[in-house]
Parts: sequence; structure tokens; C-alpha cells
Amino acid sequence: MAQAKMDEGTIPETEGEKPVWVRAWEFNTRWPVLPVAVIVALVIMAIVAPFAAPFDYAETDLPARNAPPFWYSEYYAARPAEDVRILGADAFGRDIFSRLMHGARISLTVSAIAIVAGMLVGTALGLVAGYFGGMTDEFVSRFVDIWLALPFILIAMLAAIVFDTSLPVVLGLLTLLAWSVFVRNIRAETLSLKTRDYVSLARISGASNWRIVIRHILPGVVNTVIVIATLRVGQLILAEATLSYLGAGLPSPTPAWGLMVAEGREYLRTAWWSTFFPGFAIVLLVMALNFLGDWFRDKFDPRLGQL
Amino acid sequence: MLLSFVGATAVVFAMSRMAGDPLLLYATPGYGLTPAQEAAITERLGLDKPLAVQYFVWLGRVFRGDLGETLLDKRNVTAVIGEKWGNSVQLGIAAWILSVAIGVPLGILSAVKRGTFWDYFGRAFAVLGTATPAFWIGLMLIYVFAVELDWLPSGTKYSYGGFPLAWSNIKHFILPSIVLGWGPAAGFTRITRSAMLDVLDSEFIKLARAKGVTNRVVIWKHALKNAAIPPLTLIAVTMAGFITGTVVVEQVFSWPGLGQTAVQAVFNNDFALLTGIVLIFVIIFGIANLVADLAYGFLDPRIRYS
Repeated sequence: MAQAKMDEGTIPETEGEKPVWVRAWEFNTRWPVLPVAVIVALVIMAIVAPFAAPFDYAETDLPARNAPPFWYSEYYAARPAEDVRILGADAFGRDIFSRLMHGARISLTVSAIAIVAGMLVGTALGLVAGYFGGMTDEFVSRFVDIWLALPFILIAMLAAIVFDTSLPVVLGLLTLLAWSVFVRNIRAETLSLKTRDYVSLARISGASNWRIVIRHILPGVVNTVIVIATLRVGQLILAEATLSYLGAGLPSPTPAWGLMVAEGREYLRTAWWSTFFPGFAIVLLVMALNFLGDWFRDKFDPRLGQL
Repeated sequence: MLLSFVGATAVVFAMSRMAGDPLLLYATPGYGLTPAQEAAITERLGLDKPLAVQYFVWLGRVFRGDLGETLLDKRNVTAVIGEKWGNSVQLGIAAWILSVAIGVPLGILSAVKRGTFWDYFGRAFAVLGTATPAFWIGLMLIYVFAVELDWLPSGTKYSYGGFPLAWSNIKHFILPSIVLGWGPAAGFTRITRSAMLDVLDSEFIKLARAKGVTNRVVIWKHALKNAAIPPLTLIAVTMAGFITGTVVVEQVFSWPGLGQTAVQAVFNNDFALLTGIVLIFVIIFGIANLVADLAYGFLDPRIRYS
């Protein structure tokens, strides 16, 4: 991106006079401390959720229906301190903060599994298509074309009816969403790598096709794979949240963030916190991942500017 | 293009067959079908023939506009779609115009005034646009502008009255098109900004400046003309994105279009209706992508030779 270029161009000239927030932004793009901190915090929340969450995420508590966040002091004035819901409670009296912690588990594991699966499948197909060319390439490329001609969200909704909503279905769908970018980029990369001299030399010295692909070409595309993976994770999280919101993702008692937003929707007038916080968690996580992805790209593979 | 269409419809067909025995879709819960009804439906859907033949039977019915009946009120799916699609297209176009009108100028401003407030505003706008879930920003806008401030309606397009561009009609479009347009607008801002930065760095701009051409002419005439291709192609390419985006936005704003109908179909397990909508989207998607491909060649003749 031109961002990196811009930073180089302007920093030396005006270092002293820039306002604090500009310096903060530039610091952030050069050393992604804040994104990493956000991600680490959410990961820790996700890990400790089962024993550190203040309330049970599924336990309904009708007296605490739509209880507001802690700063609504007149609501909490007459109640004991252990009843305080830090970020309020939803329409069933379930503690939002506890649900957010458990939701972080879901978002992070689902997107991590899907991106790794999509990465493996997509990279493998990209390598094979790019290296072997011919019919194999034609077949894989047309397959990607067909897949990209399908509107993802609607196919996912169709799948929700056909297979019913469950974790494996969501994982499968997200993997399908993830793989195609890898195929296209890795295929292009492989096409250029396989004409290099060192690959010809490997072939002359008797290396088999598989050995060349695994030992000589794969290491050359690993950078690209990692950069694409970090750039795409955020998108997968958004997709999972959208599916859950539409009722085509994880089924109801799960504290998936998108589902929490959907459940809070009807109570927007009386309890804005049950929609606001889960959505805000999604924004924080996706933004942190995108910043990190940009940073990875600028560091390791600046040619992928368009991604 | 044709292959994509065949593939896409085959996927939809395969899923429709995986939904279980198609006969069950027509059975009244708790009562089942009489053998005579069963025979009639089998005959009509061609269920006694091989799967490949069934696909073509099905495709033939699709092309004749026979998409089956909705589950709840037994209406013709084609009729339901015909009644809703206009609303979706209107929303899509409104959002498309809005996103171009905001995204492109912001990208130019961000590149021309780089390092200033506008630059960071444009970049923050772009970063937020790609990281914010549309359904959430929609609900938050409803909360602020419809619930708290009561300035705008929370969406829902009522029947039209009077002049089409009158405020009473337009105000329903404002929040939904902001939500639908933000993501794409963010993309336009990013790409316009980087294209403008590239062009502003080039020699011919320096020459124009050295000749004493005014800043305004340099930016609008010399630079913008040459930086226009990447944003223009992206604008064409993302047309398809607006169509799928409507699914979420219509659900948030209770907009009576295809997207909302699709979400309801999921809740009602209405398979025929959803299949019909998916097919329409596949077709629109295909056409939009074709237009984008043609636009590439038209806007950047170099591509035709490569």
C-alpha cells in the first residue's frame, strides 16, 4: 500500500510538529502494539472464560432482565454489590460480560480452525494447479471461478436449511469462504517460481515432482500464505458473526457474538448494551487483526498491496 | 461465464436434493401424502428419472419461471420475487451512488492533503468500514438517529407517495444506504487514495507544476484523469457486492426486499422460496461480474492484449 511509502516520505520532515494522535497512528502502523495487545487480551479472556467469568453464561436470571451496565448507579443503588453486571445483562438476565468472554472462545477457535483448513486446502490446490498446469490447473481454476460466482451468504443460508445449523456446518462454510484467495495467489506465485533456475537445477539433479513442490516451491510461498491468512481472518470473523446474526450460524444458546447482537436487537430501545457490546467486541477484534495483517504484509510481502 | 452459471445452478440443485426427499417438502406435517398425490408430484418434478435428468428438468422449469410454491401460503415463488426485487434494487442503487459520492472524493482529499486531518479521517473511515459488521453499525445508527434523536425513520420503506425524490421518500433510504455503502465506500477511498498518491508522485505532475499550472487544475485535470482507472474498475467490480450486502441490511431495517424475504425463508424452512432467491442472486451476480469484466477492458485497453 501507499501507506508505507507515505510514512517514509513525511516522517523526517515534520517530526516535531505533528499532533499527538498523528504520532500515535504512525507509531501504531510501525509497531502494532495496540492490535497485539487487543488480540492477546481477547485470547486470555477466551482461555480463562470457564473459571474466571463472573457469571454462568447460560444461566438465566429473571430479576436481572436487561440490567444496565455498572455505571447506572441509580439502578444498582438498592442492590447488593455481587449483583452488579459489569456490562449489563440481556433480556433473559444473562450476564453480557461473561457471555462475551465465552463468545471470544467461539469467534477465535472457529475462525482459527477455518483459516487453517482453508489455508491448507487452498495452498495445496494452488501449488498443484500452478506446478502441474494443464488439465489440473484448468480444473482447479474453473472450480474456483464457479465458487466465486456463488453469493456466499445466500449459499450459507441454504446450507442452514439443508443441514441445520451446527458448528461443523459453520466451520465447513467458513473454510469454503477462505480457500479461494489462497488458490489464486499461490497458483500465480507458483507459476513464477517454477521457471526459476534453482527449480530446473533440482529437476536436473533428479528430484521428483513432489519433492520439488514441497522442498523447493512451498518455502517460497510461505510468506504469502501467512500474509493472506492474517489478512483474511478478520473477514472470517465478520462472516461468522453475520451468519450467526442471520440465524444461519451457530444455534441459539451459544454465546456467539453475532447471535448476541441479533438477540439484543428487539430490546434496542430499552437495553442498548445487549447489542452494543458484542458488536463492539467484533469491531475491536477484526480491526486489530486487520492492522496486524497490514503490518505483516508491509513487512513480509509488500507486493500484495491490493489484498 | 456460462460454465460458472451451470456450476452455480448445479450446486443449488444438489443442495435442494440434499434437503431430503423432495416429496416431504409437500407433505402436510402429521398427515403425509396420499399415494395419488405422491404420484402426481413425482410426475411433475420428474423424481422417477435419473439425477442428471432431474437437474435439466429442474433447470427447464427455472427458465420457464416456475420456481415452485412458498411453503406457508402456497404462493408462486416467481410472483413473490417479482414483487420484492424492485425494493432491493432501489436500495442497492442508492447505496452505490452514496458510496461513490463519499468514497472517491474522500480518497482524493486524503491523497492531496496527505498528513493532515483529512488524510487521517479518510484512513480511519476506511479502516472502520472494513472492520465493522454491517448489522451492528445499522442497529447503532437506528439507536442514535431513530430512537434517541428521532431524526430519521428506522428504515422500513413504506409505499410511495408524491414526488419520488421528496424528503418523505428519501429519508427512508438514508440509514440503510449508509450501512450498505460504508464497506464499499471504504474500499473506494483506499484505492482512490493510493492511485492518486502514485500519480501525484509522477514526473508529468511535477512538470505541470513546474510550468505553473494551478494546483486545482493539476489535481482535477492532470492527476485525477490518470488515477481514475483503479477506482472505476473497483466501482464496477463491487456492484455484485451490493446485491449480497442487501441481505443483511434489509434484515436490520425491515426493508421489504429479496434479502429480508430470504432471511424469513430460512426461519420458515421455506426451501423453494430460498432456492428461487438464490438463483436470482446467482444470475444478477453473474451479470454484474460480466459487466465488471467488460468494464476492465473498456477502461484500461492494455488489459485486452494481455
